[in-house]
Amino acid sequence: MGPLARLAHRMTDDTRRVRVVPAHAPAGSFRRYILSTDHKTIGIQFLITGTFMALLGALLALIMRVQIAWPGAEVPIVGATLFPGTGGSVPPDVYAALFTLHGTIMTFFVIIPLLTGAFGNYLIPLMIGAHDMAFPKLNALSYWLLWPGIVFIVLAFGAPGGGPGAGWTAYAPLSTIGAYAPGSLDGQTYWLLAVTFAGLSSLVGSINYLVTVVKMRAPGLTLGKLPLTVWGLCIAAVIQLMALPVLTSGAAMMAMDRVFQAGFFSPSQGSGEPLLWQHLFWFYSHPAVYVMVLPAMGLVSDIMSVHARKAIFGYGAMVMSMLTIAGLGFIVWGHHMFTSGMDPRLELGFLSSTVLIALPSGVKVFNWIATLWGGRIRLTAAMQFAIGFVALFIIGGLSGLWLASTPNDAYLHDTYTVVAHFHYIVVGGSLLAMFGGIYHWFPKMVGRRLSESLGTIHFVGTFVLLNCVFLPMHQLGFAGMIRRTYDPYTLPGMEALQPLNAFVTWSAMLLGLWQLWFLVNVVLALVAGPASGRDPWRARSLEWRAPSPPGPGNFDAPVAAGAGPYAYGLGLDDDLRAARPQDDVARTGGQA
Amino acid sequence: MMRYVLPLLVLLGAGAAFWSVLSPHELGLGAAVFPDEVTRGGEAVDRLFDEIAALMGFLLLLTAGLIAWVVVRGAGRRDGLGSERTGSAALEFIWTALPAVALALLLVRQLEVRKVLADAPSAEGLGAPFVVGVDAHQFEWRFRYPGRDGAVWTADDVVTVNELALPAGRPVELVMRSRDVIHSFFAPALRTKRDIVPGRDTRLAFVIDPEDLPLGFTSGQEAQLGLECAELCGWGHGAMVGRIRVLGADALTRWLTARSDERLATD
Amino acid sequence: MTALSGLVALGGFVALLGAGCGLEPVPPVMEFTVSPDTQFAFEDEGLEPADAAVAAGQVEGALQLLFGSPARPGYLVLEAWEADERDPNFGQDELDDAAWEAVARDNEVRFARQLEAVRKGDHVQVPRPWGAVATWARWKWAFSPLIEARVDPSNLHPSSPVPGDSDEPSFTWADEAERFWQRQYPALVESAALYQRHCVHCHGVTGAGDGPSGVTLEPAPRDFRRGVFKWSAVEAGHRPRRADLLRVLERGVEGTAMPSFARLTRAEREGLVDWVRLLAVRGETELLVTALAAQRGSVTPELATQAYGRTWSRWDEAADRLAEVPAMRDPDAFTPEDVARGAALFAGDTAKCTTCHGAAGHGDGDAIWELDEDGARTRRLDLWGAPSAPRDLTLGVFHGGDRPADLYRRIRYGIGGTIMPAADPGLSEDDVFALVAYVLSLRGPRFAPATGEVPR
Repeated sequence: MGPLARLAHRMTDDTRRVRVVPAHAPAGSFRRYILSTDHKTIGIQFLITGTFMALLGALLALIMRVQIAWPGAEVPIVGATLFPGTGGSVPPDVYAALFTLHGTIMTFFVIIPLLTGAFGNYLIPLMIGAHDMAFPKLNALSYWLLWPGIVFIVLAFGAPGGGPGAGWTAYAPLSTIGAYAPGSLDGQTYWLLAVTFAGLSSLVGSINYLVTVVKMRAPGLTLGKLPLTVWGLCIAAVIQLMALPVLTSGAAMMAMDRVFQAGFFSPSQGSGEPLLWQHLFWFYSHPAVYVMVLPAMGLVSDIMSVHARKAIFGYGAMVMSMLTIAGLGFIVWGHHMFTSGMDPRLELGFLSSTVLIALPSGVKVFNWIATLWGGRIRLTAAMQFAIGFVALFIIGGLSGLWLASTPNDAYLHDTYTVVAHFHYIVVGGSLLAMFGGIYHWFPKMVGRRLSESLGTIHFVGTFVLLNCVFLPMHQLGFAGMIRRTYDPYTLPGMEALQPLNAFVTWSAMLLGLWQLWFLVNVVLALVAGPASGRDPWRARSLEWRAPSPPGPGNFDAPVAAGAGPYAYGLGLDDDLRAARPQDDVARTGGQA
Repeated sequence: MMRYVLPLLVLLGAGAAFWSVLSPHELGLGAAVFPDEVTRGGEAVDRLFDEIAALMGFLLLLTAGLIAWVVVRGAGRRDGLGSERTGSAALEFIWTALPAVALALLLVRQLEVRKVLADAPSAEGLGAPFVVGVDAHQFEWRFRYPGRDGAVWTADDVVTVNELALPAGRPVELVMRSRDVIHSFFAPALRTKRDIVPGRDTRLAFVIDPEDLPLGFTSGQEAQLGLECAELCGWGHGAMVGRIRVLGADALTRWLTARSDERLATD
Repeated sequence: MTALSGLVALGGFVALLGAGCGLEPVPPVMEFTVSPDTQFAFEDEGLEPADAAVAAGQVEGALQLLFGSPARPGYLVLEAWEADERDPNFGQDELDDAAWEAVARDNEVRFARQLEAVRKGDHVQVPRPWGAVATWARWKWAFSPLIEARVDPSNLHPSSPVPGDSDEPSFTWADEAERFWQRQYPALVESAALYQRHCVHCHGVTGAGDGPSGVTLEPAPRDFRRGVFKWSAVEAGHRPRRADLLRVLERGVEGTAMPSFARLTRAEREGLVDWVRLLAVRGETELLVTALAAQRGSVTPELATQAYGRTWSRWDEAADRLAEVPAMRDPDAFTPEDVARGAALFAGDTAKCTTCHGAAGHGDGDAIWELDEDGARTRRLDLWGAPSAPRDLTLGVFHGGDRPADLYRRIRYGIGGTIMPAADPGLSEDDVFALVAYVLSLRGPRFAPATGEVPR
């Protein structure tokens, strides 16, 4: 018995108990949808909210791309309405607000709420065989705390004095002193409020996830049998719990700087230290990258295991590598500040820990490949997105090697290469994993199946266009194109590469349009999708034993862990099928 | 069909990435993507870049090839369950240990290059450093050359806007201050970048190598390099660009004298 | 099903790509408008709002006649000027030889393609670069007036043989054309595009300093329409010379949001100066036409051209209004005695500097305040309606430059449009130099060593 299994055994003994399924009183739709404390409703609320915010963030990105590719050009369709002062082209201070809000919205209001909020809420209780979260009302609070954040971030666009223009990193003193950022007076304060509320939302959610997983697992579901999705979400929750207070206090200090001229971060207000903000910010925001990617890794692992009809390869290594990534994630934040001028010895420490983080990531990649190896792969849309995730995660991860290497980072820092790098991780990684997750768990959520053909088309276009958008950005960065540039023509030597920028913009527009296939697919499935039954994929984890969609209390019969979520083969297959004859629906599914 | 399309896509993506990381010096658009480096130690940085690129390229093709292979193989099988293997300690050890060795080698190489870079400005026989004050503010650069008192950041400095003249073959030391927000001194050809944080002096030292300059650089000629601000400093950030002129010793003296005289001009 | 959907997807992909090629965004077309103040001015003179609107429309029409639009700009050439062969559309006559050489050198690069075509004897045209449709569109409309109107060989040199007239290869024409391109610094229409790209966000389309990004700036961007530019080497309140505008463009205005545009080529900078002059003349004409018409109740072409001519005469006299300065003294040579004398003068009754700049030079003197109708203390306003803020001399940041000559001019001749007056004639040259020495000695904190140091 390994150490992990021993720990798991000890922790599960006291969680074994009889669970009571509460009888939900029938209620009106307001109570049912708006005031709901049901984890599934809240998960779907997160999903829909996050999707709408994603549309907003993507629109901002497209407006920026138009300006980058054709500086000073009129933005098609929306330009004349949004920027009447310049006849439809983006003014520079608005451009600053655009990239600030794009980054903030995508990080705090799309990826994190979707991954931890939507998937976390929906899947955790189902996957561990619980009837709901440990604290359902806290759960609803975590969703509704997101809303003040959304209100503030949307208001920030039109804040008196202009939107926030200090970038999503909000480096002081650009962000603390209004006179330094004309056109972003109150917007920056709204930004702080928005980020604080989004952080509170995550904080509350994280506490809930951890308590739920520790206290409410089904009998026999030891930590060693937890699905990797749940592991990923739990580790992300731990990261949030440890790192968010730092960001929140940093935001409070910055708010004091802005409102009371407290001078924490602004040298001109006494003895303020701009680098202090960078440390506080990155102490949260580097681990936040892993909040955005660890749950995605979990989703992908589960999808792969189900559709390769095979247990996940190296379960222990997968869990350990996630824990290692999370742990190392807390001591690498300084690599965002290599060019800020730090003590060479400290730099060496951050350099080493950053390089080290490649190891657990590599272990995960090889384990995924080994999971596919010898599998009987069903290339469903979910599986395609999962494999796409791995392929792009590798590219995004490997380009990090340059950025970790300080001599090269001195060149690449704050160029488009960095933009390419983290978009490969966040878009190529997290976003593809989320699409995979939706294709995989959609039948559970609504009881109907998405079209595999449309899903395949959606995947192929998305995968190709993603590369068209982000691969050339590496080149632009090599050529010295810096981030947050309003007009690349002003940069020395960039004119020759301008066609590349136009190509990226065209690809980005097509990529945005291509998501219509997904929309069509979802609408068709909601209207006329074939019924899925409980377990369309013939998976092993507990959520598939609940009805689709699950009713109040989730399960209609007591569940126990059995052989665990990855028990493919091992002679258990026939037993399971005999025990659940209704699962045999659509067993040919997913042969696209 | 997807059995072949998906592996193809993965291979194409990796192939494109492989090609792009291995060809950063020449993209075929008629422009060299990396501006030519001109500093001592710059070659070492570029070589390190290429070495990392080679490692990346190898790993990219390896993993993409593996993915393509297992998908083609695995997707062709009939319905049923996959193999029952759930792990292998030996494999885990191998794919932890081998990358660890590669990364350790990489770390050693990085330490070497860092040492080369750190030592470059203080090498013997290069003479005293040429000191320039860099006064960064929204959204322009002002460069301060020592006036009569021989020190920068004094009232008698000779000041130029957005135009930095530097000598070749002599250590350069920039003493940088910001008046307002964080700026970042970034000259692509110098392969260096350093944030200028308000409230403190930031120093940056390097040597421009005459042998790296365009052919035929002599004392009377000049080479021009680009200069950008790399840290977001407000909405004019992208326009905060300047020009570095690398001059021979004589030309630099003439240039400085001319700038010094300009202070007394009455027009 | 799969194959069908795949075909649909492929078709969609191709259709989108095809549609995309026709949808390349282009810069929006700027249009001059008449200032809202113009209509208010008519209303102040007692016109009904509807009539005032009509009158404002007449002003707009007159301005269009005189200056065209940003897409088709050009000064109206008055009859009186035709006799003198004066044409303000060709401002380059004012350039000296050194400037010409610099412009020609820049243009050799700018017009390399045209020059090449001219050398080869091909027709002058710009090849369409791959993917850069927008670039083409921008260049095409910038060049078409040139191509159509000016590369008519007879325009270039009356005596040069026209190609096709004789069988001999016309080298003369090619040489002339080459020289033409090289000396062609941006035409007004091209400078308008440059202005739209680099300046319009702060200074606004008509140069009123009301661009979308400019409204939040402190100090506000210059409103060109008064024709008064603070940082020039002419006497306060007079129109600037070309060189003054060029200097601000190249050096920026330290301590404000106006950056240096030295990165543009000399030719482009000259073009921008031309455009700023056009906006200033246009704005000034608008004010003058409005003032004249408000008294008479209507706008006539005669009135408009009269105002236009009067505005121009102010600009024409700029060269004669140079604010003379004596040979400069080396700032390093200022002695402590100079500084002490300057300090005494600074506080004294002749120069009266402390009344506005304050005893310590912080710009907090009492004379910047006045009492409004309600008896409340408000700051005196400058020409542009902004509250006066005398320089805090201890900052060491001088908007108009910190050369001794700059400070000498500010003190001796005052600053146009502001409450900073010309110095009392009782001050001698040495007195002003002593003040310059004192002011330079006041600059403090910026030159103190910064706290803390970063390891290399």
